[in-house]
Amino acid sequence: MKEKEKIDISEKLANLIRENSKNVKITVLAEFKDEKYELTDEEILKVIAEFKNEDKFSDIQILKGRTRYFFSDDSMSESYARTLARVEDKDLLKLIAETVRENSRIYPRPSDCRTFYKTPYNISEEIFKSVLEEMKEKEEYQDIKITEASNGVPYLYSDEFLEEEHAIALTEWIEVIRKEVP
Amino acid sequence: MPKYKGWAGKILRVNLSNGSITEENTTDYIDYIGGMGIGYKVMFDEVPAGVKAFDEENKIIFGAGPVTGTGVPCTARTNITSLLPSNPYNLISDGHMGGHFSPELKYAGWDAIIIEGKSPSPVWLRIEDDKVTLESARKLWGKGIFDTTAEINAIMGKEAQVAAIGQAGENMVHLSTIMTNGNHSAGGHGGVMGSKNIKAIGIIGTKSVKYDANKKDWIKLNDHVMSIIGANNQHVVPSTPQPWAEFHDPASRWTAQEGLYWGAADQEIETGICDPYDTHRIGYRTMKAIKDLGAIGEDYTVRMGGCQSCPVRCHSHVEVPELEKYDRSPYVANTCMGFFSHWYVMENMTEKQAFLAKTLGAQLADDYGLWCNYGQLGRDLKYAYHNGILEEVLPTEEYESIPWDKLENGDPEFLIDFYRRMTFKEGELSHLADGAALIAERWNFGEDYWNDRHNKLWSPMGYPIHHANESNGQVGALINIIFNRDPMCHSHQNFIGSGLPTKLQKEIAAELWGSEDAIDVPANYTPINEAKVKFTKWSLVRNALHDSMTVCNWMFPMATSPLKERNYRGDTSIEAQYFSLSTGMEVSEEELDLMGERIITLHRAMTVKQMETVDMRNEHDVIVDWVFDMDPDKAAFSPGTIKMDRADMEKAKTMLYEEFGWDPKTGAPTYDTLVRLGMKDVALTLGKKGLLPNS
Repeated sequence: MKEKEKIDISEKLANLIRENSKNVKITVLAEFKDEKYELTDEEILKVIAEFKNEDKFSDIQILKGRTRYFFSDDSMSESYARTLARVEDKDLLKLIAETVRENSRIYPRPSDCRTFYKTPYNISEEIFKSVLEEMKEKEEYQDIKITEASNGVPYLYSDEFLEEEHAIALTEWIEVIRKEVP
Repeated sequence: MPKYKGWAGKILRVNLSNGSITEENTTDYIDYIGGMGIGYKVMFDEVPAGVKAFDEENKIIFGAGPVTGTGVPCTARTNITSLLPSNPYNLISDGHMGGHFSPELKYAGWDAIIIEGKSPSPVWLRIEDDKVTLESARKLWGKGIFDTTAEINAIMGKEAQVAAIGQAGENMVHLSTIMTNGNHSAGGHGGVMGSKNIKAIGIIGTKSVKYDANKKDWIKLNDHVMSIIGANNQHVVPSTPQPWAEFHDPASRWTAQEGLYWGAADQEIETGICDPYDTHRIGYRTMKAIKDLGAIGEDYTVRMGGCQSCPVRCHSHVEVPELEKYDRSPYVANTCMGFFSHWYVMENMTEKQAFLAKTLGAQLADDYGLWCNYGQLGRDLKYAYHNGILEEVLPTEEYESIPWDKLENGDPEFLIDFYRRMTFKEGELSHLADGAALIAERWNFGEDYWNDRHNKLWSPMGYPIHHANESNGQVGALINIIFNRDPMCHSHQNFIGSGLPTKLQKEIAAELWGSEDAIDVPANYTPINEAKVKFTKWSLVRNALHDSMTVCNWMFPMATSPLKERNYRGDTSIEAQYFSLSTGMEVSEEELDLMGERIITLHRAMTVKQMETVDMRNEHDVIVDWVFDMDPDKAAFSPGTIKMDRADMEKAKTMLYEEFGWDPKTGAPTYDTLVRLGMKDVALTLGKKGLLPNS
């Protein structure tokens, strides 16, 4: 690849990623093929990998999922990009489990199931419930547990990061107690 | 006041007994800043122990501060200080209201209004700059707050700011409010105004607040605050995952999101994505209606409203056509417990019924000027009803006249009957509005009343929890024992509820209070430690500062911010900057905090004086048993419980007393501390009465 061509392609790749990020969209590797840059995946990745050496591309970030995803941290946070990447992966079990684990580890707090029905997850309640059933059968998701607040609202947590008693108390605190003392 | 700006320089004193209207110099009070501080100083100096809330010798003080009305964000609170009728000792307390009242007071050239005595006939106070008169309230007496306000505006002009009582205050119902702007209420002291035969205060101010800073510095400070401000309660993350945000918290009041609208606005208003850099959209961040009224609230929201100079807008203004079937206006506005308290009265409601109960209840209570004791009124009703007590204590005819079927079926119409009885003192049932401690004694409630956690009582004085042990354990618990009513202190709660991960909160806590140990993971508490005590003191001191300066304690202190580039740190020096730039009195954060400490200690001294005991620990700072006995299968300080430990709590009290320089055994202010804080006069007064520890 000639230097001028490389610069031109770099600018185009970065601008596409930035434009998508502004529009709350994560960029998938396959999208570049659609743009007909006539580069292989490896060539595209190589160009983007060199972004870290240039200040003007320092906002471009890469995430690994089923494929590679790209976003600009000028207009999108890493955590949101990670969520979009999980959605793009179209593996609902993994999406739910990783989100629940993250919440249980970082905040820490159990996850309100209703969150998954809305943007950016947009999972229907029916599908969500069937995914939870499926999770029960899979070894790698045995840490994902369900609990209910006293008003019947279900929350999920990972017992890898939250003890059961704590998760139950937190669920009640978040869903009921905090709301009763506004 | 030649030296400092910010303050107007004058305090208005109105003697209702002899009709005299005089002015005093604010200079005498600037060590107490304004608002709450002036209120406490006047009360300590002028109201003897033994005076009750409705006695002529009681006073009521409406206070602004040197920052009020300057236009910088969140500086429009009014502090109201007097004796609290629902407290069994009638101890000193505060109510606060937002809106535009105290800025107008400043524009009229006044820092505070001291009202004393009792008028021989109903009056209202008319203030137009220096022109102050007492007007006959003969035609206003008997009207609700809405009509009273409208009448005074018809007389003075629509630009007048009005604070009024309704029939509840007139009838000296203990649980009554003073309200301004139709939806900003101060709980507890409406009956004090009623006892003095003063119906309302109307103010027009045509002057300005003079501040010391040059315009450039003032705007720079304003812009700085706007850059780090969050949503309501200084929540600094959105409630849903959003592209700009690294964190989110479903409990956050930063509820703006795509697909969430002000559903009853006259044009399409989507709250949308409000990132922290777009300061023109701060007013959309807190779509509070869905928090206070449920998801259904969206469809009824015309707009969000709030106080002068506040960009946050936390009051939901809704239009509810269904209220017309109850002969009420469809327009309602309020926030938080202003809506929630009516839900506490009712039970067995559908979502729609709950919504109607909250909005109808707000209409009724706001007009009557009825207070809820932070939701306790409704819980007391239900306790007494479900335990068969009402059937015992009410005359049969009265009991059978109450529409219990409506209560049991979740029919909001129950509130019409219930609130009328409370307001007009109809029958024995109306004693519920005497206050929890008084009704418990009158109707001989059992220990179960105090010790059922669902009743939410905190103190044997009859006030409930308000961000108590559920808010960072000992920190919230200690805050809840210091005042003489539910503490309206959000300094700690704002920080705990910021929405940031606990690890980040701990880092910030270490910077502010010396150790990460100041913050526990919720429902996984640890024993008391020095950092928690410092956090507690800081919270109380800042609360006193805010209610004296006046700034909004629901937004300040701004310990956190939504900005990743600041590592989510806020700026806790803003209050000191506000104060310095407004007054010209250069103070550091620590120096200003010392002034707040003075005010808290003065409150403590007044409480000692009124209770005529130094033994605050055992006579005042008492917590009911459920706090320690809940979750019997769990130990305190284990994951999964918010219960406290008695010995740990006593230790926590001792540490807090020491932190304030109070006597570690009794919790009473010492002579040395009072002198250190410039209150030798207070020390001498208490000393003469034998009310200093070890005296």
